[in-house]
Amino acid sequence: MNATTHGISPQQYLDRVRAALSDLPADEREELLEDLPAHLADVESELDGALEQRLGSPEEYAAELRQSAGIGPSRKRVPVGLTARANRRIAAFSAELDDIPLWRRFRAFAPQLLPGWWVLRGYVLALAACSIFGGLDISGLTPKLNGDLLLFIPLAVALIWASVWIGQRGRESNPWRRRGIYGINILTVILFFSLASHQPSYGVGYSGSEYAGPLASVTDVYAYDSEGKPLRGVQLFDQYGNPIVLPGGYYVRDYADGTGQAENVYPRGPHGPTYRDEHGLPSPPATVAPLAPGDAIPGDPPASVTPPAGASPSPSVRPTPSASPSTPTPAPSR
Amino acid sequence: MDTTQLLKGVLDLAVLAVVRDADGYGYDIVRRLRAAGITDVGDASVYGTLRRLYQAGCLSSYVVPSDEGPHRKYYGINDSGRAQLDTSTKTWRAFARTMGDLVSAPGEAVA
Repeated sequence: MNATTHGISPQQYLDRVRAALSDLPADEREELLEDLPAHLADVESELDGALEQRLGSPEEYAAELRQSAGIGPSRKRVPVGLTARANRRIAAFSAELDDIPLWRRFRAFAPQLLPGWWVLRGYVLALAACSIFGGLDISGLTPKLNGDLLLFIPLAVALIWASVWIGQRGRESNPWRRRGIYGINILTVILFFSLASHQPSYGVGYSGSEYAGPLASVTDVYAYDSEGKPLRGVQLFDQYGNPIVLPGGYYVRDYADGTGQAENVYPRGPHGPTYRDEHGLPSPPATVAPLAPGDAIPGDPPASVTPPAGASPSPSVRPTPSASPSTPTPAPSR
Repeated sequence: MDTTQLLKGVLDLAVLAVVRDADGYGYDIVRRLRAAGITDVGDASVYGTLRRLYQAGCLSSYVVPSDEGPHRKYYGINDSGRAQLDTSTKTWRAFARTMGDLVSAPGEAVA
């Protein structure tokens, strides 16, 4: 009768017959279907999984049942409304999917994953609630270990428990509650992805500086004067007067007046170009070709920069303690 | 000629006839019909007929709990059903005789 006969389960069969009778009032429909579970169980045990071969497709069964019970083909042959149409599409699509063996195996396996989903749902909702309303610091899908965990952990336990409880109740008969659960599920998925894509914020560091583009891999800077001689103890600032602190190492120098430390001092290589050369590392040139006399800089740098730590009355960049052109090895302080 | 089409008109009678002597649940009744030689009837048709006869007041029903598997709904004939069965039986006999005469011996009918 039906070429695409395969091991459709009694429950699936029942669901599809029910769907085909969905235009009937609920009580009438359930009355019609009253005997079907027992019947399907009998046929299943007798024929070992060839329900459709014996009974025809669920839709054919429903049509036959309808006709013989004197109900008529269908009161509302085409249920109106977008939802009904969407439901029919989904039913047709899922019937087609059921023809794919791999999908059937997945469907059989999927219910075992449900408890995992319930736990995840509770966890994600608790995490979102804490980070939105409780100021919980998160990094990705895990909370930061700090005092706010005292709020997060009990809430997570409570919400996971509630989520599993709701999940175990199975399909909600009340349509509004069912819609509520659908809504929560969609919200959970959205929150999951937005939390998962949340950039962990670093506590220390490089605030105010972006190291994208060609400078992303730069970890040190060698400066040369117009004569082509290497400079040491150079302090770098951007156009706003913020110190330029490259990633890739933590290197500071004390200010001469003891008011703090500078992180934007280059070169960082503790012993300068020659040191790197001796160790076979990539080496910057010991000297570079001098520039022709003239205005080499097209624009003026900021007239003065604010020294990085502490206020300085001087408009000039303050020198680091050992900044001497003749001393090749300024000792870094760590 | 397709038996399925013929059956549609007389399925009520057939179902009433197989529950006349003993109550039965749906699948039980399907089996009895098959055993009696009515093999072309679909399960759904039997269930639908049972429901229609029940709604018309020709059958009574009761649920028997089952230790294993779902509960079973048993159907039994009542007085109204018996009356219906008698009437239908008469109608059927008359009809069958007429049809039998018509198709088997066309010459006799004229004489």
